[in-house]
Amino acid sequence: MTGLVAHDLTLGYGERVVSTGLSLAVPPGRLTAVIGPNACGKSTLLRALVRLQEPRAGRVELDGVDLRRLRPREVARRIGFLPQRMVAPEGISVTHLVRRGRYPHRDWRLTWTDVDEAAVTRALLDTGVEDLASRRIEELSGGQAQRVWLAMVLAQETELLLLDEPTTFLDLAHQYDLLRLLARLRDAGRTVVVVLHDVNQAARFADHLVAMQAGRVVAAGAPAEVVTADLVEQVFGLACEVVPDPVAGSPMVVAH
Amino acid sequence: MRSVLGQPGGPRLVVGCVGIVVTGLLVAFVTLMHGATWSTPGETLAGLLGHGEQTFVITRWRAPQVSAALVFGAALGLSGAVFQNLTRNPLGSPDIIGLEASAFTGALVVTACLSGTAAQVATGSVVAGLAAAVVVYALARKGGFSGMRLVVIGIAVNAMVTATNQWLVIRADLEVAMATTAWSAGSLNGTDWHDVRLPFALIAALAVGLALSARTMHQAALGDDLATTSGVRLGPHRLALVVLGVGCTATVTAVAGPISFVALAAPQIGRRITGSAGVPLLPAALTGALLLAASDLLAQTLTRPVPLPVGMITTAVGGAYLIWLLVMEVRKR
Ligand SMILES: Nc1ncnc2c1ncn2[C@@H]1O[C@H](COP(=O)(O)OP(=O)(O)OP(=O)(O)O)[C@@H](O)[C@H]1O
Ligand SMILES: [Mg+2]
Repeated sequence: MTGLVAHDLTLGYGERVVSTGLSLAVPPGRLTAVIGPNACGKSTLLRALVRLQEPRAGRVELDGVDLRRLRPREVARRIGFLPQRMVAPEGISVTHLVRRGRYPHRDWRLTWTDVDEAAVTRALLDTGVEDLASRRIEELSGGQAQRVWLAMVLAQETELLLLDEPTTFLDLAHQYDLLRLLARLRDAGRTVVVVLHDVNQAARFADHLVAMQAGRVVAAGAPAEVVTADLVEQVFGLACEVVPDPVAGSPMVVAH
Repeated sequence: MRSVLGQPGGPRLVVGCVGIVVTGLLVAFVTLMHGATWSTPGETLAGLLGHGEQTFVITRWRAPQVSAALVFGAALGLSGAVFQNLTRNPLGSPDIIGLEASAFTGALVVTACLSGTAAQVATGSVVAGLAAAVVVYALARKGGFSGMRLVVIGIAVNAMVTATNQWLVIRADLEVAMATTAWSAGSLNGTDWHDVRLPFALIAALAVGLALSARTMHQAALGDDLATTSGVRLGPHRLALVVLGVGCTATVTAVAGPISFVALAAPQIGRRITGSAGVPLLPAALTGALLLAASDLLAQTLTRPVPLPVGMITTAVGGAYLIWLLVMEVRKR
């Protein structure tokens, strides 16, 4: 099986079990969105997929090989991850932070190659933060900082990209900028998995939708099949109508 | 421009580092002039170059102590930077969390009870320092490496170990006790070349190891999650840093006794002067060298002609800094 696949995972923290028997195949070259209510285990699943969380049972495979059997640096060259919360070293500038994304590609020597520089420049441009390059992270707004962190992960230039709520701090226009950027990355051949809270945005931009509830995947597939009034009622407990989005034609949830 | 230690830096880093080096060398030169009577700068320079009647005094008596102040200061600065990075806390330095005091326990036991050689004392010091690191980490385990828990437990360990050290000094034979009293205050007085050959070699080796670990150390400063997903093996990396950091502080302690507050203050002063991101190694090492050289100059001149142990100066000045830092850290929370 190619790409990133989770088999029968049991996930939890200490005494608390979050998920059991969780299986998921990330379709390669597609944009996958994960939706579900707060605390249903979306972040926990993503963390397991990037080996931040050791499964109690089951395994995560990349192209058929258990992640635990791959070298960490090798995994880091292929899978990039943006966590829900980040801390920046005190006083670091935007450029220097984005450069840290190149870490898995560099060896013990101090050489900074043209490839590294090009990746950083492209990441700054793609996320629209090139004007902030010399600013310090702590001087930025929440949304600016969020885009800088995304730039850092993009500079890692991985074929797989997993992002946990990257739109959280962004205003509406920047949310759409980011979603379009993810679609462009997908068009360029990358595999993207993103946790989103806005079901309408997820339905409009994703090729593949994964709906979670209480640690389980309750539906997965094309947005048009997954987003139904019944499902939204079941997963979010929200009575609603699903109508076609007037612009994109994708399913759109309108609450009663 | 990229620094030797792998942190990309701007002109401010270069200017800052050069400024610290020049000041440090000036302080070292003035210290070389100091003796029963002051030598003139001309005499001192001539002596250093091997001419003139003061050559012997300057190169055999004064130079070893000045070099020790510079190199040991750098080692303490490095060790402070290592542990402040590991704990992600400006209070998490080896002199505060009890590693330096424990290293001294090792040195005391090997000297007073087993009358060991210099190499054995250094080994005892490193082993005891590592043991203390394991104990502090085990007690703080729940809170992980970063967090105030580790620092508070470290401060408690430090207090207990320091009391043990005092007891060891008092219990030692009178003869040994006389020798260990100055040592236990942290002193460079009377250092000769013979004393520093082994520690200088060890510190050079540790510094190379740290230079090779620097980039990973800065990557780990992004937090456990991003460090791991960018390919850092946090476990082995932390083990290496603990060994190198304890090595630095224990090597100094084995020879000079516990010299507190240089490891605490140097990394923070260094990063401010150079406007660096995080807690980089090179500015910490250079600032440590400057701080210890300046403290030793004060120790030699304040109560002329009888020199003080340099540890008394660093404790007096550093204590004030610690109080300020504690107030700032508490305010943050
Ligand atoms: N570090 C942790 N220690 C203990 N429990 C945790 C930890 N992180 C998350 N949990 C618990 O695991 C469950 C799933 O959390 P998770 O963060 O995966 O939810 P989520 O779907 O990402 O929610 P949100 O939409 O709020 O981000 C929650 O009940 C949460 O309380
Ligand atoms: Mg979450």
